[in-house]
Amino acid sequence: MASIELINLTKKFGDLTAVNDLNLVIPDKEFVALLGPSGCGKTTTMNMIAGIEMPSEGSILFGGEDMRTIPANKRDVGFVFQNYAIFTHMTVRKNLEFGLKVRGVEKSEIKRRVQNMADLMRLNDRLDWRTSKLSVNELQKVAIGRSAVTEPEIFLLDEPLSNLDAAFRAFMRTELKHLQHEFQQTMVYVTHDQIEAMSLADRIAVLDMGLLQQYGTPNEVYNKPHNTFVANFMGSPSMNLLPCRLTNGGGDHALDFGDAGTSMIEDGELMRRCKLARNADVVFGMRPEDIDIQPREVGRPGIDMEVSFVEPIGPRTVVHLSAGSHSIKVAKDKQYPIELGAKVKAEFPKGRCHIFDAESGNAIGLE
Amino acid sequence: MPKPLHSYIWRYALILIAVGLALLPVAWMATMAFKPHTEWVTSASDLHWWPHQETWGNFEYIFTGQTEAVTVSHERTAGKPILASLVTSLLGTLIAVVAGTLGAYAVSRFKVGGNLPLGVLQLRLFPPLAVMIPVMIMWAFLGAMDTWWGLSLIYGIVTLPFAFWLMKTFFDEVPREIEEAALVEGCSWFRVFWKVTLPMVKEALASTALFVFILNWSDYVIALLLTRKEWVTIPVYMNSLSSAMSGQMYGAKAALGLIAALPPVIFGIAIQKYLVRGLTFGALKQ
Repeated sequence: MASIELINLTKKFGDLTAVNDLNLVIPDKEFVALLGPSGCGKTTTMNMIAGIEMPSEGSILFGGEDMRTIPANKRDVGFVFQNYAIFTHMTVRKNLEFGLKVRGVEKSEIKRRVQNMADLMRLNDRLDWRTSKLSVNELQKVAIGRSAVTEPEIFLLDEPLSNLDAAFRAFMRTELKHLQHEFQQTMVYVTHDQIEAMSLADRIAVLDMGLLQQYGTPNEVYNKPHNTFVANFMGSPSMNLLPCRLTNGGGDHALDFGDAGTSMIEDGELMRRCKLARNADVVFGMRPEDIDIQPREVGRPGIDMEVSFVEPIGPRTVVHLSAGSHSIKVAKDKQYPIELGAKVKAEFPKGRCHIFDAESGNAIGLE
Repeated sequence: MPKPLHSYIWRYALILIAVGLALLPVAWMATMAFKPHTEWVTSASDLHWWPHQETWGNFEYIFTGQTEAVTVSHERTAGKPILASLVTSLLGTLIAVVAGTLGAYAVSRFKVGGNLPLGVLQLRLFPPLAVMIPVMIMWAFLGAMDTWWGLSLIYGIVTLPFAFWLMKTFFDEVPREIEEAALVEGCSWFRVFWKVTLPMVKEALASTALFVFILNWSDYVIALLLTRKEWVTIPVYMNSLSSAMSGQMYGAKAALGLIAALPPVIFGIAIQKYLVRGLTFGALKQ
């Protein structure tokens, strides 16, 4: 059993609170991504799990066992660093053997496991190379192999792919998934790349400013963001967030976008959520791929906008629309036929709208 | 675009001039060592580089105390001073490098000692001679005068700041993550230091040891003050190679100088690949 529980975990560096009262349960054999912008406390959390840093407050449990008094070298976790931290004075083989030797594993067993790992990571023909001769991609393979070879139950990866080139990153993503499938570790994966988190993780913990913003499956985090931070952070292009006011237009609720006009609310779910709003000032959110572009004559809820910019980015076309002080992005299929300056209506289909409190940024009436 | 040829010519010409200037006295010493007594002092009109009559007499003189060409015999030979220099310089280097390295590691990694590093640096701000009178009194009190360990100890102390600061800058360059990686792999802190950090700075360690050794090896003043007879080192002994009767024994001094130049050169050649390679870690993507 190697579940990880973080209970009221707090880390302060002087006046700076890097991690603030974090509570997180990472179930056994799950792949959890800690996602957030740089400086959000994800690496600090990782270092505390590994025992490299001691928490200021709170505790960490591995399989129910308190780790507070267990030093880093006794925790038996695998740790892959963003900058590889390869032992450059050793050959690839020596690097892979290192952890096993420290643990006093038998020689024949060391040989077998190193060979096994070299096969898995495709490092066979590099085993007796000096690490200084390896490419960046190979270095990271050695780093992952070195940590995985001891078969730790808990495997921590701190932005392991962020220094790699795009093609190799995609390759390593599948390799990592493969690795976890093979060894059944509990994996904690730090990243600032939401696509990486979405594609790899069973669950995503979104962090910002040392605070946990949301913890859930990739699906939940993407489709039901708890606040504007999560909504904005997940997805590329990110969610359109438009500040507006709730008004009572003729008995029905309407969204007043100021100089961009108003839009009636016909969506029952959105109406229910709007009624729960404490303030009239809200933030209206729409995923770029959820917005429809329609001719203005169609009288459905939406706002009249103008095409201000068209980005054809390979598989998709991102259409920028603007009206007054508002602008939004709409993601469409590739070679989407639209002209710059076209006067259109941005339509908000039912069931796809998000509504947040303008002051706190929290989602309103989320179920 | 390749640089024009004349820029290379200038560069190499300058290097040749600098090297030539630096090596000229050494070359003069080397030929002097093989010149017989009559050629030591020559008038300007008879200045010659190569000895007219090559001789090993100067070496014979410093090791046996006498040689046929020189009538004045010397009661002390160079054997013991060479041994004294080797023993005290090597031991002093060992003390400075071991203590300096351990201290530097502690300060670099665990941020202990507060202003201690600066304090250690200040030890190098004044010449060692400034404290030699109290040291002499202490050494006399400890019975450390004219002993191999007394001289080794003061050599270790005087060059410690040097070793400490050099090693500290090198340790500062070793990425923390490498040690943390070894730590989570299950190493104790000492094992991390011994198996990972130290091997990573071994080049630096070798160059530090060389510099410290050269400092100790070339010391004159400390040995002059703290030795009398038994553990006199090469530079002090060299000064005794003159007397009222024989005058300055230039040839003998040159011969001894040539011998004295050998250990640093051998040491230097032995660790040359470390010196040239320097500190290129490349473990981290910077």
